[in-house]
Amino acid sequence: MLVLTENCNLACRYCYECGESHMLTLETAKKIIDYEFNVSSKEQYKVFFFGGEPFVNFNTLGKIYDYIEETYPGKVNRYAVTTNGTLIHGTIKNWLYERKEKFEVTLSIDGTRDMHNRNRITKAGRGSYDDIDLDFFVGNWQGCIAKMTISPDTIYDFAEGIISIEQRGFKCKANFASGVNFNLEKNKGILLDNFRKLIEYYSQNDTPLCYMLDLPLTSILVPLDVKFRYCGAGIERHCYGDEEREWYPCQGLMPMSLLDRSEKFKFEDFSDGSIMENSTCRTCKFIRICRTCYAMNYSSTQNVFYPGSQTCKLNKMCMLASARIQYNRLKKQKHSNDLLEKAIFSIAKDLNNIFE
Amino acid sequence: MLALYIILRKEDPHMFTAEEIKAMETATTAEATCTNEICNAMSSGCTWG
Repeated sequence: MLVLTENCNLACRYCYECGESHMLTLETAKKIIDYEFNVSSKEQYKVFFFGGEPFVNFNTLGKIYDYIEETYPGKVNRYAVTTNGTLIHGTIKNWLYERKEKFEVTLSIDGTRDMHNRNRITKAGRGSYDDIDLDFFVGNWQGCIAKMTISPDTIYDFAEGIISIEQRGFKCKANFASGVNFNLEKNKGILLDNFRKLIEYYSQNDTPLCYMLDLPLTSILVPLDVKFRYCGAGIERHCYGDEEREWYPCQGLMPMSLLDRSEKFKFEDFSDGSIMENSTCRTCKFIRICRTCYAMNYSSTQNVFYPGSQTCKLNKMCMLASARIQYNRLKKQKHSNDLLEKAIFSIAKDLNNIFE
Repeated sequence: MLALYIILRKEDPHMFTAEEIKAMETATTAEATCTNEICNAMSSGCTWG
């Protein structure tokens, strides 16, 4: 992953990035690519362009792409970019369109127009929804991922947001913002209403579940002594800023997110599986379906192995809702699945009181 | 009376009924253990980005 810049043309209310602005130069990017491609034995790579808003540094992004294609033909099988979409017009849109077969695109969009404009505003304070050509994204990338962040300002109608994104043709990847207070005690009823709307929608429509609820429930049946890791941070993913030989395991653990606190994560790959020994979650049977990660945990609790009580509770609400949907679907299909039924029973028995 | 009315009209905060849980308990007495190979799909995604 290459972080092209911390600069962004938006000023989203929940943005976690705090580092000094820099623009990755082509010269540094070339050194990073040469270093990474030559020290590793991997035959093929996926290159992520990240920001800030990566298209703020479009000139360099395009030259990096050309450099890789000319110097290392066939070495990169996929490129990926996460964008707020507001700069994808004119020249940039044409450039991306011409390379659409090579690119995966994740668009940051926070629900309905109204919800999005509550969270994602320009530096002048104006909502950014109308600056995005949604048709371009859904028209060119089937199942284009829409990254939806739920904030305390959009908790009231997050179900409507997820459903509207999915109905627009995107694959919705929603999650609750980390490091903010959702006042769960006060908002329990709101959360219950929203999860019920999602249960109703996904029980009536036989579409793939949104990322938040698409949980492999049978994973809770894996013995807890089997090694566990949240993701491939540090092993499958190296994230570079503007230092050519310094990588971090994840964009959420880089200086742009943590300033000086990121130093201890330099070259960390979490490969010793120590999460099971050191985490307060080590005895939790739900850890394998808990939609958290090292970076989200650190953002909430300054401990990569512990998500904190708020995230724990929100994730358990997701598990219970997912169990209810999968239960409804099993009943509708009228075929048995012993493993899944056992997992659903276990979740229902342990978490059914989570909204009390 | 008003308090009783509020309690009675309050929405049930549970996702499963006691009867459904009881029925599942009866139906899932067989031993079923997932294998690591099947169940580690979770570790491939990125929750943050």
